[in-house]
Amino acid sequence: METLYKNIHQEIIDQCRQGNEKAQFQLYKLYYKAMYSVSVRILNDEMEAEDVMQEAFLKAFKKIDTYKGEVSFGAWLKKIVVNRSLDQLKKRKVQFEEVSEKNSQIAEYQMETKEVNVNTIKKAIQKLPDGYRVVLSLYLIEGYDHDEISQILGISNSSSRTQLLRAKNKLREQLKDEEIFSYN
Amino acid sequence: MKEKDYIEEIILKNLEELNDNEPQDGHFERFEAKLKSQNKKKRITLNVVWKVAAAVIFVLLAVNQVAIYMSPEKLTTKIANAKNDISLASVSEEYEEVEIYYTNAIDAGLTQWNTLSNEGFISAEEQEMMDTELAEFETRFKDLQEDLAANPNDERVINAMLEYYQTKLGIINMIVNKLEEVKQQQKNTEHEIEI
Repeated sequence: METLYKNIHQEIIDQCRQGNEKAQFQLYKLYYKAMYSVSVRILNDEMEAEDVMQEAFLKAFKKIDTYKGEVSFGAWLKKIVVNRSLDQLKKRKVQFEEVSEKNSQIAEYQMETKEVNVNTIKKAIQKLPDGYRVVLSLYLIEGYDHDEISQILGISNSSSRTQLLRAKNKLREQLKDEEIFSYN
Repeated sequence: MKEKDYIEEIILKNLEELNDNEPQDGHFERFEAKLKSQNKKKRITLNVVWKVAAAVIFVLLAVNQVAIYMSPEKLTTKIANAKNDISLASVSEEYEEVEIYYTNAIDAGLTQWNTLSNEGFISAEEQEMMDTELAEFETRFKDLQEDLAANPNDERVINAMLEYYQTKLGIINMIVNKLEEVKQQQKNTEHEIEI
C-alpha cells in the first residue's frame, strides 16, 4: 500500500519538484486529510493543527529535492507533520513526563471486542492528557516503535511503554463509560 | 502473550476513519493563499538576488572604470613627482616624449661640458659663466612650471616651455660645439709644434 502510493502519485510529485503550483495543490488535496489527522491528534486543537499541517506542506514543497523516494511520499510527509506538530506542542510547554519503572506495573484490563463508533474513539483519544495522547497516537496509529518515540519525545524507552499502557487503560475506561452511557 | 488487545484492535480496525478528519471550512482557500505567497516570495527573492548580483557587478565595473580613468593621470603625476615638478609630461603623452628628448639631449650636452671641464679645458671664469647661465635657466623653468600648473592646457605656456627647452639645448650645444672646435684646433697646433 505504501509503495503503491509512491507509484500512483509519482507524476504529481515530479511536477511539484519543478515548482508547479497546480500540482502542489493537487498533492495537498490527496494528503491533507491524513496529515491533518496526524496533527490534530498530537495538538488536540483544530485551528492549530490546520496551520501546522499546511506549513508542513509548504516546507515539504520547499525541500522536496531531499525526498529521494526511499520511503513512500506519504511517510516522508507524515514525518514532517509529526515533527512540526510536536514542536508546536512543546511551545505550549508540555512536558513529556518520565515515569519510573516501579509505578509501571499496571494490569491491563481485559475486555471483549465490541463494535465501537469511530467518533467515540476519537473523542476518547481527545480526552487523554497530552503525554498519553501523543504516545498512544504515535505508537498505535502512526506506527512508531518505542525507540523512535523515546528519541522523538526525549523520554526513556520504558517511560514510553508505561505511558502507552496507561493511555490504553484510560481509553478503555472511557469507552466503557461511554458504553454504559449509550445504553442508558 | 495475552489475547488480542481490545484497544489496539479497535484502533487498527478504524485506522482509515481515524485518518479521515476534515479541517475547518475554508482550509483549501487558506492553503492556496499560503501556497501563492510562498511561490511568489520565492520568485521575488530570486529577483532580488539577481538585482543584487547585477548591482554588485555594476559597482565593480564602475570602480574599475574609475580606476582605469584615474590611473594614467596618477602615472603622469608620479613621473612629475619623481622629477619633483609639474612639467610638460602632465599635459599629454606626446609632450612627455618631447620633454624626455630635450632633457636627455641637454643632459648629454652637460656631460660633454663636464668632461671638457674635467680635462681642464674650461677656465674658472668660463665655468662661472656657465653656472650663472644655468641658474638663469632654472629660475625661468620654475616660472614656466608655475604658469603651467595654473593653466595646465594653455597652449601659450606649453609653447613657451618648448621654446625654453629648445633654447637651453641650443645654447648648450652651441657652447659645447665651440669648445670642441677650440679643443680640436689646440690639438692641431700642438701637433704642428711637435713636428
